[in-house]
Amino acid sequence: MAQAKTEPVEEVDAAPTSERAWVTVVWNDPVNLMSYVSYVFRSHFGYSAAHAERLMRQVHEAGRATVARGAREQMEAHVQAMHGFGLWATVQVDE
Amino acid sequence: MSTPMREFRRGTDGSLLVRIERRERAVLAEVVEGVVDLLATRDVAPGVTRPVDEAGRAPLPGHDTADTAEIAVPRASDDAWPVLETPEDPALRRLLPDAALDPDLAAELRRLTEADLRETTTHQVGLLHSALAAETPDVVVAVTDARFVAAALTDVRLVLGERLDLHDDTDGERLHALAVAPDTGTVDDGEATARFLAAVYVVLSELQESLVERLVEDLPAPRGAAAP
Repeated sequence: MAQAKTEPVEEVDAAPTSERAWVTVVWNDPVNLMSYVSYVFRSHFGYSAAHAERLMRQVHEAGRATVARGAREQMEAHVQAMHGFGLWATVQVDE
Repeated sequence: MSTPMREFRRGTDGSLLVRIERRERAVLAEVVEGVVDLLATRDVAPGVTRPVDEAGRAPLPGHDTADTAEIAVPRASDDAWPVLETPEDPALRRLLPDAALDPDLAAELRRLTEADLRETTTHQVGLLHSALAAETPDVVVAVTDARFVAAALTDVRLVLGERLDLHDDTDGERLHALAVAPDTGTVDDGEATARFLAAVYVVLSELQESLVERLVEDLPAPRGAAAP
């Protein structure tokens, strides 16, 4: 997949951190196979083949994709799972 | 390593098999073992016992357990808890990456989760090593292990990718060219090493591609999870 671009994250500060939604962001890398990234999104998140494919394309072409949104602890668990699969993911407050 | 494509096929009992020539298997096993060794370098600081209870949480100060009785135990939130720096080795950093762009959050998550991630990764790379090193005619992967072996193939490829300065898709093409370059006998040691690693990378990529094909065949119908 294409080169990852790390952009600074802009955080809104409208509400306290604990009340805001968090997201799991997956970043592109040149090693992971496109088929494997789609497989991970399907098997871990239970997404349809079409949705997983769309997210994989977004990672590949835009350099990153938000793959899940929800409570902070849940997003932290997703990030750790992605790291176990060899995908680089980060948790952040929803933008 | 210019033999035909190595593809996982399904055995009669459902396990996944691939035929790889013995000498090549030994080479792959050695490279995979190097990744296990790399992960082992990332143990906690010397003299510090990792203080956790059975649920994986840090016990409260003064609460002695069999594992931690000999040291003063800080809480996870305590400033005295050993801070784990982000690994300096880029390959290790890719296996154990920051879990947030915010440095403070990344540091907090690293000290809470890195040991578990390292254990997970070490386990799955170990499964790949065992499959390669086994005295069986084929490399055999149990169906229940297949997803972990697929992840391990990524882990090893990530390490090789860092060693080969693989940073974008054009580098991928360079790497494939390197893997199939004719051996003219005039290359220096660095070039020879790069060619070797590139050849291993290409073989592992083939193996992962076909293993993922088999895994996708086994995926259940979508659970209907909500899109983000």
